[in-house]
Amino acid sequence: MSEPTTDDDVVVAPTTPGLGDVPAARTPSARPGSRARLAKQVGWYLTLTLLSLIVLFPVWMILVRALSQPIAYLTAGQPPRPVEPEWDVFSRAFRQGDLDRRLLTSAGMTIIIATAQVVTSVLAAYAFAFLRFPFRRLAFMGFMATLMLPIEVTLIANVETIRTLGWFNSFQGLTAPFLAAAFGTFLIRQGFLGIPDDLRDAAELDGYGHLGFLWHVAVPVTRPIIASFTVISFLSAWNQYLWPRSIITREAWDTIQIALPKFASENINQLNLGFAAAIIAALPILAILIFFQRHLIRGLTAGAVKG
Amino acid sequence: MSGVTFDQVTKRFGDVVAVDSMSLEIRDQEFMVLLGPSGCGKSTALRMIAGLETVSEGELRIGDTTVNDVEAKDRDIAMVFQSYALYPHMTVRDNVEVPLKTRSYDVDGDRRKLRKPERADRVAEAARILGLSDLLDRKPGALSGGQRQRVALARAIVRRPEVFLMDEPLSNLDAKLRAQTRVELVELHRQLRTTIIYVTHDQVEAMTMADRIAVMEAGRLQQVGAPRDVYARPANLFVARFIGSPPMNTVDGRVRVDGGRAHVEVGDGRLDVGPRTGVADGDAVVVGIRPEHLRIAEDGVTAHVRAIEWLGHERHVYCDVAGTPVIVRDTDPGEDHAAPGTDVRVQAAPDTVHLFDPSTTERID
Repeated sequence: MSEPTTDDDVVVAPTTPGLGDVPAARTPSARPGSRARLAKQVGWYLTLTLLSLIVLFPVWMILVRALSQPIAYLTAGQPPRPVEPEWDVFSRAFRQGDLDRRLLTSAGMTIIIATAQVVTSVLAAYAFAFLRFPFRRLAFMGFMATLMLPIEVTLIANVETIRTLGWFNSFQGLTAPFLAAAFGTFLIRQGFLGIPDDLRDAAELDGYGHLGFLWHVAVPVTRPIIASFTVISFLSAWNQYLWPRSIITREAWDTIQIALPKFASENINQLNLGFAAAIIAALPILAILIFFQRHLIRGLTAGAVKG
Repeated sequence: MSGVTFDQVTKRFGDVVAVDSMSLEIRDQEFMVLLGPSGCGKSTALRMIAGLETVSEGELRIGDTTVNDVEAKDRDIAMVFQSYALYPHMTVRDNVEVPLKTRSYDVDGDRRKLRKPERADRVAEAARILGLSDLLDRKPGALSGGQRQRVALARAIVRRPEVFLMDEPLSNLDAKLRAQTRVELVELHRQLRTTIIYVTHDQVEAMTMADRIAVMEAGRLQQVGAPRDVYARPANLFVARFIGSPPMNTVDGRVRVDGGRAHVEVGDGRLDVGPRTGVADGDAVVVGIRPEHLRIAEDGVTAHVRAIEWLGHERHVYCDVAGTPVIVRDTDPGEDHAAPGTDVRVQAAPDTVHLFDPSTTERID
């Protein structure tokens, strides 16, 4: 096997071997356009750095406000750096805000919703992608139509249903309306439709039934898409505010997103505690993103079929 | 091991008839090639054997068992796809092992799932036969096209099925690898001694590998026979024009019978076709002559030379005969018989001239 080469390793060969007129090998510095390419690359990096700074600036400012002593920070004119840092602010926020219980409630709700959404979306997507049944297209269109309904439209009816079922202040109440997701079904169905027909046929001839094909072929092959949806599902479940606010009436069942504004308004003289709590609330999502990042790889189907 | 029988099998997709009343008996241990142009129904026929398409009418048997209603996973067949169809997330070892995990097998008279060491032995044997032993831990993405094709073959042979189906398995390989793999497939067939049904549109593959060829067109079987027979005695004009490269020349003519010998008038000349029983004086026919059987001569039919291709070992002389394009394959390129723009005369031995009925396109003997 030959050594891997880069563009810079390329040597221009004579186009008419044997005629004796061999041009000299070109070095990278002598290649026309190499300087322009370098400038273009530098330009791209500068642009990306600038965009990253714009995205990270609010995060940095929350961190600055969380660490700074509130009065001193206001007196100093709210600079973009910590003023008289209070390093124990996170442990105080965690303790005073009773955040462990809120985080556990949010985590329980999020895990149930995300797990259920991934499972139901995968199964529904498989049915819509691979099974033939009457009114399949119509059923799928109906499914997709629910994407256009914002939560506010169904809020009152859902709250009434949950109240009737006696599920206020419970995990059932927090999660029941979100156990299936039209968006996930759509996204994963698109992934399944990308599986080559030959692969499906080969799996059938190899002896896989529906569940075997789903578990051993379809899910692994579409893993990047399923991972993407899992992240989206986690994120939206964790960040829910309106629904928990509508069906939680006892403080013991407050999720972290409900607890945050309450905690901030209760500590109006210690604003940095509210900012610290917000940072703590964001950490699980950050962890999920970092964990799933390595699963969000492309090109898993490379080599499955020719072309 | 088993043969496969199509008994008046028809396959319809809505109003489209993909396979039309096909009757074909593929013998046990035979290497049968289904040959035809794109859309002729050959892949549909193969997919019906696999169980990937249902049979609309007729009866399909594998061995003595009618399989019309048997699901694909319950048929004892293995298939190699044009696109290889390997599982991209699995290693070569796992790809080859899949059918061994999912199915039950007869082991010493007992039908059961294979144990892990038994599966490992079979995978190792298949890998050895196909030269994959050093690649077992790689994933398909890290293999070349030829290696992927071998993995697909290994996945098929590891099951030791009754019938192998191959759907244009070489068409994604480059010319050199294709030629090499053709030979290897023939050797593999000899080793395995099992029935292989192979679909291709490439007549070279068909001619070089098949025990018998089944030529298909527009959903219908046109001719079945050994490659040599199909080439030497095409059953109709389609087969005559489809088999052979360059294809057979076909020109309109009219029969003249004179003293027991038949001639065919083509343009301003005559071709002696010897004694023929199926024609009468004055019959319109289509004359078929393979390019290698036409020769430039002193007498015969006038041909206007349009172009000459020199290929080193032979020349192709492109002519017009009575307004119809004709190719003369001249295997003696040293001699300069013709030049573009000039008229020559072409001739053929009587036993190399094929006659076809212009209305039915069938062969006339």
